[in-house]
Amino acid sequence: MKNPYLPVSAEILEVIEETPNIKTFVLKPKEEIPFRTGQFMELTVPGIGEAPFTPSSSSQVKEKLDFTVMNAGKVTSALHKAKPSDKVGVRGPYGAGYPLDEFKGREVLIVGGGVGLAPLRSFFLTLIEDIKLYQKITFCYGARTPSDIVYKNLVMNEWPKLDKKKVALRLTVDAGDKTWKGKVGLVTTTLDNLNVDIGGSVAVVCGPPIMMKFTTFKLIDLGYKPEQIYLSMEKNMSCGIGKCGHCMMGKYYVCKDGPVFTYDKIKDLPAIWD
Amino acid sequence: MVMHFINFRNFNTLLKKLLKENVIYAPMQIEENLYWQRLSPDGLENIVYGQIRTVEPLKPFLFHLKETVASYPTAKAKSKKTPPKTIIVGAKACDLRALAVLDDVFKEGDFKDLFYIANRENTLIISSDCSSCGETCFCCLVDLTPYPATGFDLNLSRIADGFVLEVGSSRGEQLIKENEFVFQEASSHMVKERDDVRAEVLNQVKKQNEEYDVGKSYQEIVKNNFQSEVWKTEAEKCVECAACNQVCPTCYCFLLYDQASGAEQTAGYEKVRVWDACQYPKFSQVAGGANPRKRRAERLRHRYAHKFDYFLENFDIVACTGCGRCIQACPGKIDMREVLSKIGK
Ligand SMILES: Cc1cc2nc3c(=O)[nH]c(=O)nc-3n(C[C@H](O)[C@H](O)[C@H](O)COP(=O)(O)OP(=O)(O)OC[C@H]3O[C@@H](n4cnc5c(N)ncnc54)[C@H](O)[C@@H]3O)c2cc1C
Ligand code: SF4
Ligand code: FES
Repeated sequence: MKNPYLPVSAEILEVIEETPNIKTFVLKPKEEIPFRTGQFMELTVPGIGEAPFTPSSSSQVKEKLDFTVMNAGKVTSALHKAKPSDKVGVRGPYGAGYPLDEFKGREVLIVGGGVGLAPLRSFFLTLIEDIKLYQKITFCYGARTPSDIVYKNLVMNEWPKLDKKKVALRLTVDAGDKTWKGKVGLVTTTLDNLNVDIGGSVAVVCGPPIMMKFTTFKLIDLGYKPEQIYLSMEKNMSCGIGKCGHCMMGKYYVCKDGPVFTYDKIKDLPAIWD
Repeated sequence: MVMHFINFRNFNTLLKKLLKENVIYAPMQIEENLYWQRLSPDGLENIVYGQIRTVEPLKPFLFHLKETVASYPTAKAKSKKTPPKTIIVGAKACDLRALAVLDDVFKEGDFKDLFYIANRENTLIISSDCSSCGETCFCCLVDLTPYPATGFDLNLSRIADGFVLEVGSSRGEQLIKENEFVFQEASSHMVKERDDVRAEVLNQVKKQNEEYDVGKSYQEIVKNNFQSEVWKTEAEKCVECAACNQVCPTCYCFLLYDQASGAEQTAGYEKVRVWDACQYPKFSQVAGGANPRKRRAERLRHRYAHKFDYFLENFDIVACTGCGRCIQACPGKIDMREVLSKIGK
């Protein structure tokens, strides 16, 4: 039997500075760690601690794993000091991931805020590898300021080149600057005048709690049913394997039963947005 | 099922024999209470088979307070010392329910806790009936009796000249087979004597808890009164010490932390699993400060909801044993029975 607490050693191949407080780490684990998009892993900074992150790379890419990490506390700040060739540990994958089979043949609306783009990048990359399986993808992304946009090259240069009939991108910042020519406004404003067949689509949302809350309310206003809205719940985690109790939300272990839940499953639970 | 009988002298002989190859723990009296103590060959007389459960739960024997669960980057060579085989004598019905709960957490599911499983497999459980009812005992309110029905390898019921002995597992059966000479078949009057004692103790427990029984299941009470004011008024008394969690036989929440391995190892790190507690204010707090259970009332409610509703939903068993240890330990004098009957009324 395998010891679920034992991390696999992984070498940092590359560190990409995305924004002033977000970095992407490209890791090469000692053994391949296959995952389904939306599943997460526990990253160990040796001797410092562990924290959960969702790979931001496509689940089709096997030999490397990308993690996009915001500097938020003890483990993440230690990670931000790491350099190429440093070693970290990886355990996982954990949780259920996105139910891609349920999305096939439908339109997919993706709404992301801040570092919430990390799992959504993995999700989006996985979708566009098999784009014919989906009707259309509308990707709405909001960042605080232009310098807070993660994956700038993908978001501003690469993805806009994708087939417009299949992929619509909507980008906004809360506050622009001198160079910003795009849209200004909260991410919820990208949901105005949507060109989406709401009944035949699913909405996949990931971002800070407050953003997820208002996005969910807006989606409901637009006519989405709670069971069409997929939310990534960010709760305190330690074990990641449904044992330690930290992540409990009602009867659910977010690490095991989630981290992605449809809104109908959780809407009546206490304090889901906290 | 065949019931066995063993007289005191033979049972002591058996224990002495078992002591040669096992470490044995049993309840012994220190001042007013019972505590798990390691048995020595000349201390057999100190074992208290009856009375009630010990002050501490069984959980630290199996789910250690603190345990190194991984070493990395290279796994440390396994320590040469295999832990000695352990026997627990005198576990009570409530203790056994707790083991069933811990088994569900650590032995079931896609991921298994190998440390718990190893300890569990290494431990033989010889339980025994309660002979009285403690002030805080309420097993009858969580569908238990003060005598074990399942979950033991062997169970002892004290009667005048010895024990009526029930077999609960193949390991228990094995032990009997290996020591056939000290057992005899229990007669029907022996079994009747046992059943009479059992009925009397059960009655005591029921009587003591009559006032708390509001005729609804604890699951119903918790589920249907999520917004009750009682959570708030009761939580006012909580001093956030987590004594209730620590002393609870089923509370299993833990935290993993990382550190450099001890000096005797070569450069490396280890992951340590320590008991944690949902009554601590930051148990569920995330970076940035969000916390779904910021207030004491929310934490108290979570603890009860977890035990009586969530665990039942997830594993089909109530994660409370009615042992009353949390009532005994709480400096705020929060009494679970009282809280639930107030809410359920
Ligand atoms: C399923 C999931 C996926 C995530 N994916 C990403 C991602 O791709 N990129 C990213 O930047 N962030 C992600 N997060 C958030 C990230 O886990 C936290 O920012 C991180 O745990 C903070 O750790 P810290 O030690 O730096 O913070 P501290 O505040 O010092 O936290 C100490 C410990 O508490 C726990 N903890 C604290 N905050 C959180 C939290 N938000 N979620 C879970 N546990 C927490 C961790 O065990 C952490 O090590 C994800 C969270 C979850 C639950
Ligand atoms: S034992 Fe009492 S005071 Fe301590 S955390 Fe539990 S409820 Fe609060
Ligand atoms: S993180 Fe431990 S149970 Fe979910």
